[in-house]
Amino acid sequence: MLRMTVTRFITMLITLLLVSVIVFFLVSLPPGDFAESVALSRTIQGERVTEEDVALIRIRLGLDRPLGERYLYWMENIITEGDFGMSFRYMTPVTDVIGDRMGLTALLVVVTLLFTYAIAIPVGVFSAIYQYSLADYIITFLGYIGLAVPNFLMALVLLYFSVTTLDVSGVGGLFSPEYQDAPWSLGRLIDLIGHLWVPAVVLGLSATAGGIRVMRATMLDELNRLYVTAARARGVPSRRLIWKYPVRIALNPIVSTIGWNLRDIASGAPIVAIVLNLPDIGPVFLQSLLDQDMFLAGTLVLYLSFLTIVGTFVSDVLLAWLDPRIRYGVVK
Amino acid sequence: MGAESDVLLKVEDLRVTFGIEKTVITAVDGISFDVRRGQILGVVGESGSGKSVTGQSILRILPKSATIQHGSIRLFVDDPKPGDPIEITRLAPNSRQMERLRGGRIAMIFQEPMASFSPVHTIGNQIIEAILLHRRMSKAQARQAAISLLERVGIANPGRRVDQYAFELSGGMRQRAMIAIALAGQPDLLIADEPTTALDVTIQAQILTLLKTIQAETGMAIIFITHDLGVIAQLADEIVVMYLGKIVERGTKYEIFDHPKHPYTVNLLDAVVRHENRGQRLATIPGKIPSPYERPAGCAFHTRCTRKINGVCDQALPPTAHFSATHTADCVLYVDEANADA
Repeated sequence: MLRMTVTRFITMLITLLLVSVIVFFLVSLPPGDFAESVALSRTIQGERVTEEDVALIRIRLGLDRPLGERYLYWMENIITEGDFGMSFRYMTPVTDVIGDRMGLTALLVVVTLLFTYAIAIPVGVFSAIYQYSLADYIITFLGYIGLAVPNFLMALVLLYFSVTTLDVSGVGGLFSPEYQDAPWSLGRLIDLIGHLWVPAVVLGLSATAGGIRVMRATMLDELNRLYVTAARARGVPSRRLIWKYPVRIALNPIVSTIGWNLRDIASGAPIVAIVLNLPDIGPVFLQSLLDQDMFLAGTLVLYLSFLTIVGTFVSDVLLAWLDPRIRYGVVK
Repeated sequence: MGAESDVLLKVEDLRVTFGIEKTVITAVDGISFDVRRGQILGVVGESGSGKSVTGQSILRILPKSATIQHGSIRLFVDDPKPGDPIEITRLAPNSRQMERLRGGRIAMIFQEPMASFSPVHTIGNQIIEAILLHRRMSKAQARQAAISLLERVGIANPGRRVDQYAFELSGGMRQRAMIAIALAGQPDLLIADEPTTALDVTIQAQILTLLKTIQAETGMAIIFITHDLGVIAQLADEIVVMYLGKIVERGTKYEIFDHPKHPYTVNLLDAVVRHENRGQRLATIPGKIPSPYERPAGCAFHTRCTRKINGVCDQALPPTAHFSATHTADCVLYVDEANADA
């Protein structure tokens, strides 16, 4: 178990490094660079920008150097000093621009994931045990809606209803106005939790619906297994039996897809954040891509990938912990 | 038949069907039999004869699609009240009382020992679970009890095995561990549903010897379900032969093996590999078991019977002929015995 964890951990680090290369080159792929986007915005404002000005900006930002060199420089600073580079637009270190927001995004993603499983597992189990009951049909129907509705649309609908019917303002955002710029306190935390459920529901919707389907299907499989009958035959009460045996085994596909779910949630998060006006990395991310603010955009993509890769690592370790066949290498 | 007080389990006119409305299959069609204390009853039949469904009915672990249409299954044990049998068909499958009977009074072992264990729990975990469900003891005591049960069923190094998973044991060892679970609740009756079918012949013999030893030590009764007459010959005191949900013949082991009456039993015995028949072609029963959707009218075996009487066997159900107090067969060939009885 320990050896496996260590190997997986090393694999995770290597993956992260590879991802950082891809991320950096991807971000620099679109034509043009930050210097040009600065020139463009100045021209729009009526300034005259010459070729020399653009070249000067390039030299100042190091954009004249080859891509590979820039990557190495970026990586070196990250590893040695935890410095993710400067944001061109804000002219401050990337970590200052998004440090707080990264925490909020991580929180949002984790809360969403927890919400997803808190709903999907029990509902899926229920749906399987009462297969073909009215409740099962209703759950299935709602599940398909959940899968089919894009989450930004769901965010808009929720926004609309909370304002028109519920008369709650501030569904958008993560804080009430009085806590907007306040320092961290218990009150601010409670306020955050009060706001966080909306984006969590929106973001987790399709993962929850998918999770219910997976849980239901594997449970239906497992419920007919002989080990369930054998446990019944030795007098295990049915409720305890269901949670101890088939649920435990049906958790496997759920646990092994934590990484994928995390990826879906993390990639859905920016759009939902923009719609709901959340002060997380979403809006900054979009702006940085429009600006070609390389280090900022690169750091953000790297961060989202990091969440996914860590999620996969966690799911691997959890799976090995849950299932001795994987731990002992009987099943790969 | 022995005295009535010897009877541990009395099944009467049991009928079990599968499915709903138009596509109802009758898996067990009005069967009756007794299991006496300390007896090993062999239930023989081909697949689809209803023998496993019978076992599942006694424990009320039938699949959701199955229904006990009528009949009674009575268990004669001294609690809650002496002389007052428990009517199993009247208990709800998920009732507390039924859960106490399972494993506590009646235990069961299955054909696939590997699949009978949870793949993610140690065998010890599952034995201890069974012990704690039916006996009052601490977890530490239960663990000790589990280890001694493993030792009793002939597993070497039980202190280590108790913490292993089913996939770490051999097939024979798994079935031994399964028997240990069955013994955990000190049951009065063990239902063994083809427990040796999935095992090698040598392991098969070891498991049969083990079952016989344990039966002798504990005095529990065993219902041994199998399609293999060779296995039955080594083990059973009495035998019932089932075909398409009905009992076609019953008797003591000697009556069935030495004086089989029903053509189906005769055919089955001819199909057993025997030393005396060396060099001869092995006999088979012509045709195959009819689909349960198209149950033949009259005697269900008439479509394959070599001694079929046209216009009789395919019309009416055969009468029950009595050859001794213990030996009966449902076949029109013995109509004289049937009438004499009536």
